[in-house]
Amino acid sequence: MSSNVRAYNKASLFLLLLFTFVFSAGNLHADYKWNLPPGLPEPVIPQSNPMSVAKVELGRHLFYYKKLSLNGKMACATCHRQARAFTDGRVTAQGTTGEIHPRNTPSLGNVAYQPVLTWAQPKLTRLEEQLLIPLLGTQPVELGMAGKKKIIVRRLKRDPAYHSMFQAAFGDNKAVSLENMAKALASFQRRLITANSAYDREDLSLAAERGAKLFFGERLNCFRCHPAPFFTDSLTHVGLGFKEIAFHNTGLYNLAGKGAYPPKNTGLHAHTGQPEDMGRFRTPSLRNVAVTAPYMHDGSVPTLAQVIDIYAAGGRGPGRSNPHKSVFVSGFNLTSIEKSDLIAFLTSLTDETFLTDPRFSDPFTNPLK
Amino acid sequence: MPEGEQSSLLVVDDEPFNHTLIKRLLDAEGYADVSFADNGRQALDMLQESNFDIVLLDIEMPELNGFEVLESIKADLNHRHVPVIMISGVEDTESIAKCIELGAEDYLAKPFNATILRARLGACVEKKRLRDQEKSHLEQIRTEKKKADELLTVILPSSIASELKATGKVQPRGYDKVGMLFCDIVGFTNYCSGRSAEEVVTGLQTLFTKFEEITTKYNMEKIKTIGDEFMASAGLTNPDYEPLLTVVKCGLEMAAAAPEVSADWKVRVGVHAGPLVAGIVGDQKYQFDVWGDTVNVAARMAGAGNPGAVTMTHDSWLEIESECQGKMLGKMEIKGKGEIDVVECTGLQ
Ligand code: HEC
Ligand code: HEC
Repeated sequence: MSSNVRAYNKASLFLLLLFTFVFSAGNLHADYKWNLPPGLPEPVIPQSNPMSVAKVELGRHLFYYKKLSLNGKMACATCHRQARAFTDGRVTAQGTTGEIHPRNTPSLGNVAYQPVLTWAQPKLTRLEEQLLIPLLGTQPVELGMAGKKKIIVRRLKRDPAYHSMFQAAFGDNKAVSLENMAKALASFQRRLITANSAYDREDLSLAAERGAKLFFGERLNCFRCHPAPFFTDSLTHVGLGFKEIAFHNTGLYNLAGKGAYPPKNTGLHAHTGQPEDMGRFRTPSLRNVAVTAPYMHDGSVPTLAQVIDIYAAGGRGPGRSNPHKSVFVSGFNLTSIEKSDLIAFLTSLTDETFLTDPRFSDPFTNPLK
Repeated sequence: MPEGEQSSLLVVDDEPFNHTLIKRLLDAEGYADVSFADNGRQALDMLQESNFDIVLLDIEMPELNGFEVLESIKADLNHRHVPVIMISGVEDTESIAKCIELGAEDYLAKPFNATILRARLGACVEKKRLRDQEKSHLEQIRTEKKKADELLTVILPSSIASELKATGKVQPRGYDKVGMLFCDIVGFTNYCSGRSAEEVVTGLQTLFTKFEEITTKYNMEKIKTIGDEFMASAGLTNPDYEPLLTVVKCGLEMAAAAPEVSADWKVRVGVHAGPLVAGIVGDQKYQFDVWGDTVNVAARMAGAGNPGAVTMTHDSWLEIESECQGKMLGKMEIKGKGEIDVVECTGLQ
């Protein structure tokens, strides 16, 4: 736990220095067209980093840029794969040096609407900051560029294509910088909006319709923590009075009968030290959940059927009596048919266009135009 | 249940024993029109040959399994809307999820339970009924629209009709030189008395149909008919560099054609060429029309002429005399223009 905190603190110290002079750049492209599906609110965009088409496109080129890693073999996209809604299919992530991350790679779909980032870091609120963790972090090593900031900038400057994309996005000759890289990556990720599933199109199969009734019903209570339209209770958007931030303990562990979670994955507790925060994690969105297995913060549940079994039992094994468990995870009876219906519904949250949208795809194998 | 009786079902299952079982259950529910396929390939063939309202499809089959059959059905534009209910094992949640993802409407777990079978099929029939209703409603709207469009091109010159369809309106516009033709029947009132209305209308219809043929031949536009009067133009929506000559030729042909249609019909034709304004009047019922001196003069010429001839002003005559035969009719008072020499053309040279 302490190592985690230290990594986080190191990053935030660096950020403090960074952001004092970073987020003061002018507003180059004021009117960005989101073209959001009807009914979807606009995400909140920091004033210091307004959206622009050029930034999003540069961000895409950075997201898939393998030279952002120490050995040139890994990009953000290596762990965040489009076909899996920007997850990696692994139990927990593995960095460029082979080091295993303690947590499962979350989807980046609709990340623009997240008031707090990652599984449980209450103070990490900006995408511009978050990406410095995989880039420069050492606990664990992900892209492995700690202490190599100059190398990153040099690599980017040397590539004429990137040089001109930076200029197009930020409009001056000294545009290639770590700060601008962070802005562009953040802009690209904010663009990753997913809201075109069978559920959104109101085209549910009969099985999925029955599943929806279960999901939104009082017996199962899924909607309490996974409310539509984002299917998470962690939410911010333009026009929302206050950010909705929630962390829950869903009764997955209960080490030594004391309510504890495994040491590297104690959730909110790692940041607050409050006993009641043990095992509390941010509710993941369930959009595209059928393609993001395995599940939970540590990837410890392989299938949706098993996730449902755990909720039906009111937790997993001894976790069921975890004292910090949410009252909404108290178990219910479910027939095997109902289980299939619920899975049919969860499957209908998959947005095929999002998984194949060329604007979000690898620009090196799939260039636009 | 009557809904069920009308629906045709295709059951795809490789177990003959299941056929019997399913048949008995479906019989009990009133589904009389049930066909069976032993494997996926046969099912796809049967789907090509006849229409089914619902397909019940087993997941586990040798050769072509349920997933593959489902994918083929959903990839076929003609059959993708046929609802498919998968037959699966009870605990087979992964497969069920996959089928729903591939577009299956629902699933039935083995062993079959009559209550659930009834509910699933009932819901499926109902959903399909609603969908079909919606579809036929859309189709109805589409055919009505097509009919209206067709009607539009009958009433309006086609270029005007396309503009109206595309933009919802037609800008009135001025033309520099359009040939106008008026043709009316001599002694129409006399003709009408002593004949039944039906006879009159049929006669007129035959005559005007003939006139339309002639105008079409000359690439002219029929503007409208008013009672016994037929009105057409040259060079309005179809380009014509000698619109006056065109309307004269057309007029001569009409005059010659009328007695052929019926010995009683004699027509007189008036023509003129010059600038005019054309456009659409009306909002609900469109009427294409033309306005201006040119139109008025042509109408007056028709009234002034003799049966079987084409009448025009002397100025017009000078334009076409090299091609035509004719004779002076004398002077005539025309509103706003004073006394004008009028010529009648009796044939081509
Ligand atoms: C080694 C695999 C790996 C790489 C490489 C990686 N990530 Fe991640 N990413 C993760 C994991 C694991 C988490 C969850 C971290 C946690 O909860 O502590 C995560 C979380 C995130 C989140 C938070 C999402 C949310 O819902 O809150 C964002 C945003 C993100 N990554 C963006 C990036 C970007 C941008 C890059 C490239 C600069 C990148 N990641 C590179 C594995 C990776
Ligand atoms: C008390 C709030 C709460 C309720 C109620 C709840 N969830 Fe969750 N759900 C969470 C949290 C928090 C997590 C992440 C837990 C973790 O990783 O430790 C989660 C994780 C999941 C995941 C895994 C997602 C992923 O990407 O890893 C699925 C699937 C899921 N929930 C489905 C459901 C269903 C279905 C129901 C209703 C039966 C339900 N949830 C009810 C809060 C809740």
